[in-house]
Amino acid sequence: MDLLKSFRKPKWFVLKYAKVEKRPADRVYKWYAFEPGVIYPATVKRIREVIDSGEIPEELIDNRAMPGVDPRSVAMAYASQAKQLPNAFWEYALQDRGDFEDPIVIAIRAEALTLARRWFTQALSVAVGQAVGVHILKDERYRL
Amino acid sequence: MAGWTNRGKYDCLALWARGTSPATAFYMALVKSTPTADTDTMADLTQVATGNGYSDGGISLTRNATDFDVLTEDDTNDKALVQVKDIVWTASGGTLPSDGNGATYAVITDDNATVASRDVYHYGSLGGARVVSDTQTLTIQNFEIDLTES
Repeated sequence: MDLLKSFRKPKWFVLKYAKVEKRPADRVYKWYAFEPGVIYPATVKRIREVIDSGEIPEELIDNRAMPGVDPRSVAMAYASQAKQLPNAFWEYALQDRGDFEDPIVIAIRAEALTLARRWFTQALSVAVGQAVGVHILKDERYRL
Repeated sequence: MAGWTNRGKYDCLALWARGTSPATAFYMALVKSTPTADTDTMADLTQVATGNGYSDGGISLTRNATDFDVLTEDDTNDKALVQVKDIVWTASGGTLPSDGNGATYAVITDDNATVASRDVYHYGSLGGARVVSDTQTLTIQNFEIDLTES
């Protein structure tokens, strides 16, 4: 039963937004490509869901954590960081980088996008369960 | 703040361009002074007090896909990143650091046998002075090292 549970897909499943990328020269890391126009909106939507519900994001819970370390600690830390960012940050994150000139707004938008990137990267690492490569494709709208 | 030291950039390029011998392992250490791009070695920094779960020089990192478990190639932001596995110190026998003076930065160094002579490659802020009480853990989660051309 526990074994089956460990293979259960989380509610927010990052691999749904990823494409396997073949890199024959790299036999160690398993590579995935992400379209920014797909992964960032999906991740931001998920983050806002977590902020609203107060849940611990199960997709970030790493059961490979070291003995003595709560496997939920990374998930809780990411959720806590997300909650500390004002709502406007998440609005800005999904707007075209070209729409902004104010360096303060650009910086806070970058903070939100960086947390979103770290969020889906952690989710990928947990879902795949081995060393991963993340290839974020070109999309100037999502530039920091 | 986070970033490469100039020593780190030099060592990285020397390895790439000249095929110099890399360190067998790296170390992640905790310091209570502020590294800058001009920091060369651990002698330039003040490491946190040893004891209560913290050993001189920090925790070793092997150069492999277990300890550096995520690589990122970001075409949107023209950079690449490598992520370090979670590094955990557990306070034992009292607070960590043992003198109560908190760690403010984590740094990545080489593995020179003399800790003060270790090259400092990269640094990242812990967002304040971090102290944990006995039995609690101090975890550096998903520490990222990035290469950005600007």
